[in-house]
Amino acid sequence: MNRNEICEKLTVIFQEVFGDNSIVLRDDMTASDVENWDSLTHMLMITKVEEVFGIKFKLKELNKLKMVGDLIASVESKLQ
Amino acid sequence: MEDVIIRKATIEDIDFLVDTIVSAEKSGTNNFGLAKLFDITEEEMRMFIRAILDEEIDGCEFSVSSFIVAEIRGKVVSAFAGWVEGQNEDGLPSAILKSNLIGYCLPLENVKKSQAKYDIVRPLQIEREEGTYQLEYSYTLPDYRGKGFLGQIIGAHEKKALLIGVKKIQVHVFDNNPAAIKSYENNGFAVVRRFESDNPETSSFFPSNVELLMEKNI
Repeated sequence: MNRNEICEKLTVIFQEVFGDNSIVLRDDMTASDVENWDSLTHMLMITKVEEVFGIKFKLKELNKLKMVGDLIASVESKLQ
Repeated sequence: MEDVIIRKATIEDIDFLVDTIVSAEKSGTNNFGLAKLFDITEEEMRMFIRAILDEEIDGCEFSVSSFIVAEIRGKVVSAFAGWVEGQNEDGLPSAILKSNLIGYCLPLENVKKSQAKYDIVRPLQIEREEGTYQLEYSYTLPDYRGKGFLGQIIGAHEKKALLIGVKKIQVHVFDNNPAAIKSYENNGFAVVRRFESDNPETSSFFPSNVELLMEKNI
């Protein structure tokens, strides 16, 4: 799966979990840029990402995900 | 009172810290929001809180390193967590650290169950201000209340805050707990905001449907 395909799938997850179909992902996007991205929805988003891509993050990996670009890169490296 | 020791918690204090978190969450009621949110029993949630604390991630209310405890003759009698918001190894908001810990330690099916309850808990999810000193989860054993232990622990947190140049301290408290509110007022805190949920289910989930943000400038 290439980066664009990963971004497309992540966009669907973000739009669904944060309840906003207009969300367009940016590498520098963080929780403070997205309405409804709080502790509970963050947890649900990560769970959904793991499920959709069939991956599992370690706790240390989760805590390195500061922005959307980090999430894309982490998913990409796990799928390689 | 000369034999009171105020010190940072260690992993050896984990039993007391689990009791502290559960008691503070319930705030004198039988409503244990965390367990209800994930459709889990209190005993199971205690086990997961222990696993979460055991990860020893710094920078949130589920961090052993955030807690300061009061000890008398080898017995821990009071605890209170505090940290500087957003100032941790990875520079993440404490809410994200907390959700990473919970999501990582709880079974997937229980995490998913929380989705249906989002509207119940959302009104009382108060965003924490970056760079402020945040206090959360205080508890004192019943026989040791009213003796100033909490004030001494707050004083130790204030010293920590001042050492690193942080001047604003905040704490959240449910409005069903006048003793805690009074105690914070006695220690210089004042209510600065009130958060209320009009979802009728919130008050069966949490100790109250009203949560107060109290603040102190040091």
